[in-house]
Amino acid sequence: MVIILKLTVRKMRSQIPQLLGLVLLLAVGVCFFITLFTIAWQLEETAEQYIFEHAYADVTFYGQFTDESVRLLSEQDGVRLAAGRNVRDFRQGGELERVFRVISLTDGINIPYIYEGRLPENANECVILKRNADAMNFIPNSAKDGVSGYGSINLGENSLTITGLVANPEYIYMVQNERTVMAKASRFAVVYVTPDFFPGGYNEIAVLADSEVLAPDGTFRTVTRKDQINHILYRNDLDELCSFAMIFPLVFAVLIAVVIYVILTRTIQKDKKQIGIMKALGMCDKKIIGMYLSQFCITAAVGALLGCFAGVFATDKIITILSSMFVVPALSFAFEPLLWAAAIIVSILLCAVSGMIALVRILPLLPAYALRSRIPKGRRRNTLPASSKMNFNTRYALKNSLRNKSRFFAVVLGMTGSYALLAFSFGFNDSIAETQSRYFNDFANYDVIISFNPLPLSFEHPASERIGESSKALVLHIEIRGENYMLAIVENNFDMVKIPNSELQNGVIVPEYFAQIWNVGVGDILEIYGYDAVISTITPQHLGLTIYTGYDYIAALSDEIPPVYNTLYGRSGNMSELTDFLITNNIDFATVDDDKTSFDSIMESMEVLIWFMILCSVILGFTVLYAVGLINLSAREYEYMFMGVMGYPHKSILLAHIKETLMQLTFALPLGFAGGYLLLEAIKGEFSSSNFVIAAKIEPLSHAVSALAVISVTAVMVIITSRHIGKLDIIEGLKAQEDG
Amino acid sequence: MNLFTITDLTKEYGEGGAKVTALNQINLTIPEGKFAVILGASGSGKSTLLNMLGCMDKPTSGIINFFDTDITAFSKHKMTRFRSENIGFVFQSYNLLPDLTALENVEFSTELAGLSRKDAENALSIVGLSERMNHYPAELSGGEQQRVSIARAIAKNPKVLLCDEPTGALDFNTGIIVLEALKKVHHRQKSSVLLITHNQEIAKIADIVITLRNGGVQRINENPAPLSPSEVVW
Repeated sequence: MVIILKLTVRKMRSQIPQLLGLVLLLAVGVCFFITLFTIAWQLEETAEQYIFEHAYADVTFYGQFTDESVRLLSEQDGVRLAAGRNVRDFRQGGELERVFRVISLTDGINIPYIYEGRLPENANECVILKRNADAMNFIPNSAKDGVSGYGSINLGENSLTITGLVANPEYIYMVQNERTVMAKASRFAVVYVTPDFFPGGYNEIAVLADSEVLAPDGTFRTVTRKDQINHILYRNDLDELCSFAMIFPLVFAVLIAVVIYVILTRTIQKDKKQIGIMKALGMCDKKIIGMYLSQFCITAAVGALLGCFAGVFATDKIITILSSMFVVPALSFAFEPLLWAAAIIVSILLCAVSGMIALVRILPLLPAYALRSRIPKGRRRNTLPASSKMNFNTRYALKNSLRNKSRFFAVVLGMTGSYALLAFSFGFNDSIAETQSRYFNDFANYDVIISFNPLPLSFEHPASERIGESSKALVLHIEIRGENYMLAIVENNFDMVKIPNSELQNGVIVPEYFAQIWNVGVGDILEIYGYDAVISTITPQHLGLTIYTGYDYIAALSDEIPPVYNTLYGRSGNMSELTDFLITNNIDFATVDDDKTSFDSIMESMEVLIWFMILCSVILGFTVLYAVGLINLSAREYEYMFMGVMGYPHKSILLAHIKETLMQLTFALPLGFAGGYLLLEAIKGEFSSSNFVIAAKIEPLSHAVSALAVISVTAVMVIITSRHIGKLDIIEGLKAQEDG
Repeated sequence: MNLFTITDLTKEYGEGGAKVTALNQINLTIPEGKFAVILGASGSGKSTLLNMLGCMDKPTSGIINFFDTDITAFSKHKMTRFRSENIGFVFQSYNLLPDLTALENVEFSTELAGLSRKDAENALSIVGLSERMNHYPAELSGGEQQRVSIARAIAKNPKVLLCDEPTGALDFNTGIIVLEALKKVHHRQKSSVLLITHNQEIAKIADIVITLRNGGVQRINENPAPLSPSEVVW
């Protein structure tokens, strides 16, 4: 075994560049896999524990409630705990407009996680989310005066002293409203106060329940935990991370498998004669398999381990960056032995299987055949049209491409994969910008959305006088097929968003994404509140996905929905005057700028993932291209050497190589172009939810950059090849070929 | 006792119109302990015959008995074991493993046969290469490489040495040294040697000369007074 071991080690040493390529490929793939899965698993575990320990409400009722309502609710079967609370937004005007959401604390439900300080003890104290304190510079100035060290918040006539910095499972994400789902922590803050801050009644009841609970009198809306945007975002991000963790490494694995297969096939084909010698000397197939597979498996294990360790650093870094998107205290890197073992085992299996496939083509050969030179494939002549008009160089390049289709395919696949991954990564960035553009430039036609308790349609809201143009709507949360969606019942001339309002009277207007997931089309029936509503048209929507219908249609469908409105969409020539009025009168509203800011936050947070993706794509792409370049070079080395012997000049040899590479690029670039779109389309669904869907787009610039990157690396490989051709020692090379 | 008894041995390559008959219904016996030369021009079938005898290839039809055992009925696994236990190969193109030194190349063979490093060193000393044992094949001359190849073949003390044109790639002087090494081994280890050549002069050192022509045995001559390698000239 000693000599076989020595031989194995020396064989590995003699092919260090190829093995290093393999190590790098596997390390990148494994790093990506480990990082994303660790984050996903840790996020789920830590967040679920956080949600459980801090008693995130199972159900929240919105409306007008008294202590009696809370008591009656508490007595319902299945209710473990019910607590009334008040939630109210306070806007601070001026240059730096801020919204403070003040929430009264509830005993045993939605319990804040305290980072530092203590909970408020009287109506003049509050605690604030730590991320708000950080963003708004509420930093402890010193501990000399104890809790007052965090500063204070002025809300109209009230001044609240901050007694501590907290987090709360109901604000893992800074959800301000349905559209502003990721508000900037510097513009939207959540503070918790004692119940006596709000005298009398409640506008919410938070409930911990084991089963479905009947809504108490006065309920305007009921939202279960799983339907809360905060929770939906958390689950979505978790799914997205898992999808990324699955899809990307899968693409990596396919590329890696192809490259490994080609590298190993080349290595084993090159060693065919040596395998023949070993067999002739009486070495059994098992030992030969063991010798070769151990090389590849050791390489795989090293690559996978490096990837795992790189994942440790990447995970910590990504978690730090992701904390700008969501906050789950105690979320940090944790060693997942199963994950590491899976990554290492899969990497080893990938190499072992690829190696085995390559080996089974040689091992069945009897030594007498294995010792003979390889018979070139394709005895049929490659008939090349117009070949007579081509010079030798071009014909040689063309024939080379047709001669070994599997290698040609592998190189093209490597180039295609690299291009597709890069185009996809850049395209993801483009798609988010496109989504924003489609919503704010093409779809939204309002400046402000004002929300309030329902008013009869015949009553005018006091804010309407200050709005240039306004439109009334009843925005409801409805359940369709077990999921929560937004329905907006609007006036027939509603033009605050771009929908075909002529269809409002004929039925419901459904977002394209919903139509896809429900598998419905125009004319199909949708059950809303137990009534059969006809889908009148389907529209592309990307943000704040809403089903629209007209008051007339709803009235014809059912008399259970009263003619009321709770939302005013408006376009105003004087927004500052309007917002001043709304702030002064404590009316809940969101401007289109709020929505844009929220979207910017989403973009910022996704940018991290996108750049991580781009980085991995670049590394993987370069490694693949480098590996396939080496394959191209090593496959041609002998021929180039022989061409040199025949007196063919270096320039002409290089030209032949360039022509072959160009041919590969000609195939790879269009395929990569399509591949990028396919990847983007495939992953688009994973990034879509009931209020957000990505508009897939890859800008020409992204394609250009991706193509340029692939061409650049290919060009670098051509330069390396040129240098290599220049250095080829004809005598040594020919001798080595004989020995091999 | 006969080392090999060959009955109606045929080997065909290719199919249909491209079919080539390399060996055609050969009947032959090769006695144990002899230095036999298989003589023939290129394409006469001598390498094919050697491959069959060494279990490196399977015949299309016919039987080869090694002593009393029919080796043509062997499975691939048994063929491997047979080669490992009974056969020492010396190839025209040496076929050394380039990543191993001379000693390690010989050790490769002894390790497979369950022998020690000492056996490998002894074999190298028999062929006069003790001084060069730590050199890689690329650092050795053609003759030295062929002697390493002989050492590798004899180190495991095989019952038969099969040598496929061992001097084919060597100059005259180096060829003589290699032949002397083979003769020395034959005398010391009492191994049977089967040497293929197209060189009639080399045939003079053999006890038996089997001449092949067009895939058949043309004649078998016994040589009562074989020459020593130093006495032949070509």
